[in-house]
Amino acid sequence: MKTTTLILLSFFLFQGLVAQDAKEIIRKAEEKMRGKESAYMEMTINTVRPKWERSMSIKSWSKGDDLSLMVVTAPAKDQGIAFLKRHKEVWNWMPSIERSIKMPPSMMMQSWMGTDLTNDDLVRESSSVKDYTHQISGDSTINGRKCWKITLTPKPDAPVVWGRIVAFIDQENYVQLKAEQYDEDDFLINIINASDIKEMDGVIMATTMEFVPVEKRGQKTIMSIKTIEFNKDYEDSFFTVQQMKRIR
Amino acid sequence: MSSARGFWALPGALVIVILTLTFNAFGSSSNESFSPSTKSDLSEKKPLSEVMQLRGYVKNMQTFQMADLNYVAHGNLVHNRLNFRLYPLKTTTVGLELRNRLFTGDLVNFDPAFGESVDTDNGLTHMSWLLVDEPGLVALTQIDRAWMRWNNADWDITLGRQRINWGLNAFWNSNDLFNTFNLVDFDYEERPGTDALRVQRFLPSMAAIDVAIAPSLNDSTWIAAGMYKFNKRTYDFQLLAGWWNQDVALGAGWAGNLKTAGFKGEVTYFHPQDNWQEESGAISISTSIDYVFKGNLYVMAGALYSSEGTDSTFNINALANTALGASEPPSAKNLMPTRYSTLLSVSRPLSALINGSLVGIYAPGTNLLFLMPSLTVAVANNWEFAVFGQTTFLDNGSEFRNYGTSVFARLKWGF
Repeated sequence: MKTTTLILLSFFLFQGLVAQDAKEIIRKAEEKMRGKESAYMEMTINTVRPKWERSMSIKSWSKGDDLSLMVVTAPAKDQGIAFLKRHKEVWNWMPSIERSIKMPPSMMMQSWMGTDLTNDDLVRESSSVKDYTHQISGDSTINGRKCWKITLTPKPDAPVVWGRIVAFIDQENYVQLKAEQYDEDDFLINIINASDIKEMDGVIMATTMEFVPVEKRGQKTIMSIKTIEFNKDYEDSFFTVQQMKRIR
Repeated sequence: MSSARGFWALPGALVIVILTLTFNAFGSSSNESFSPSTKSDLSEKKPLSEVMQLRGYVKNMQTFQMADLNYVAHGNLVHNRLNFRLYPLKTTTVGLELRNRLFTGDLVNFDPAFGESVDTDNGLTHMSWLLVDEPGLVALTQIDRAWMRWNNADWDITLGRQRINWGLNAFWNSNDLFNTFNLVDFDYEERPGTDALRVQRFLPSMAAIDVAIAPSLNDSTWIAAGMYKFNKRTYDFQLLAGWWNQDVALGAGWAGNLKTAGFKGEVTYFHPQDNWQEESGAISISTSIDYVFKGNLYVMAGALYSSEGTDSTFNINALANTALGASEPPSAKNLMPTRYSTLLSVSRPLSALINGSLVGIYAPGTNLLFLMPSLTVAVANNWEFAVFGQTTFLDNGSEFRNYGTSVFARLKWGF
């Protein structure tokens, strides 16, 4: 009886360790994009369709998981449109009508300004560390790099739009090389492919991410990081509604 | 009246010049850095685009107005908007925005007073100029923003013609004391400005005090109010009090979530200033819920109770000078001519470039129905084509019938 308990106990302990590892891997991968403290990023977002292509530019600031601010810098007609995230709340500033709107959580699944990204992909209301449970579900190789395959399952009350996410993390540099987003009915919706791995501000990371909606042929959205600066000292008061209205 | 406005124009311009100088002097003594990305750029030479900016758009809109099916009146509007920004210092911004409009077609032809009717300005200085007022052709230039702003992390002080947007609800905003707008004038999304001084003090945890004064040439139309905003349990709240024309106004608003839906609302009570005993206060209560369904279907449902409104059937003439009449914009106190109003707004992207939406307003009691469908097409990066429709049905006491339909086709180029 004692032995059985011990075996069971060690089994759970082992399970716990593995889960902890998976979470740690995701945390390290996420830290690549957010920095230990904070990150400033400039990127372009290209929406590709069979007959046309659109390009946008954005700037974003983030501090930890909880605070982020993002502003559109091009094209002209969308310039100044900004998004603020504080903990579980998200606001949107529309400069053309000088109005800030509090966004309901259900809006996070909505397409971000006509791209294949959701609001959540950009504003990051949900955290892939805090809002999911994590499990290593195998090994894989992508572009000659050995990866962990990790399944992220949302916690019951998490503000999460996906049913589950499968992430492929490079075992050497903790770079997320690929991710699969499944909806609540477990249909594969998007594949995210990362490439152009290089060192940016001392961190090895993927600088191009392709969002490919599986069901839509010839369609994708490409995010390219142009500039990234880590661990600048941003005050919490930088992430406020008044700052969202001023940022350029 | 017009001479009084002329009298104000010169001092107005002088005040702006003096303030520019003072703010410059003030600003240069302050080395407060706020934007972290530009922390060390005070000493650096900035590119011109960092100091000055010009944005705007050109729109061409065709209007087809049908009072009944026998006759269609046609109008065309070329509309250009210019938004200037000057950033002389990190803490100082100057904004100047103007709209140039050129009207042609039947609507201008038939109404000899058309030019006069659009050449309006409710501000301290008359900043609207009728350039051409001929039968069939009206051209005018209007300045609807002319302000100077000084700000740092804790303060924001804005003086001049500006938009003070105090609304929190998705649609009907009785807390929006400083703005009047026309509900059906979808083409004027920026809305008119108010000549005012606004001081905002930002406090920790997203709280703020916001005070604004909008003087008027007419003693009875001053607006001065203060608001306290705070954020608690993932809700934005605001409480406000002030003088509003000849009333005292007290109001509250909220914006938050019910589960994953948005839940917002506003309440404002107006009481005559000079008669506290009189029980003739007016109250306006509005609320809305919005939710995004799978497939990007956005649905917003809202309701408004306006004690000033009527709840019995009324004549179309009674609609003039109210929310649905074009001549006089509605106010915070009188958002709708009807006592009970409901609203349903749905929109959905039909493809990556095409967005469809339908706004419907129905007022039970008066049996007023207003529908506004629209279709927007993103033609190219800075080009947009849109078609809007507006139709009004009303129960005039004996029958429920249509009181006019308009269709608008608009091409817009932004720069």
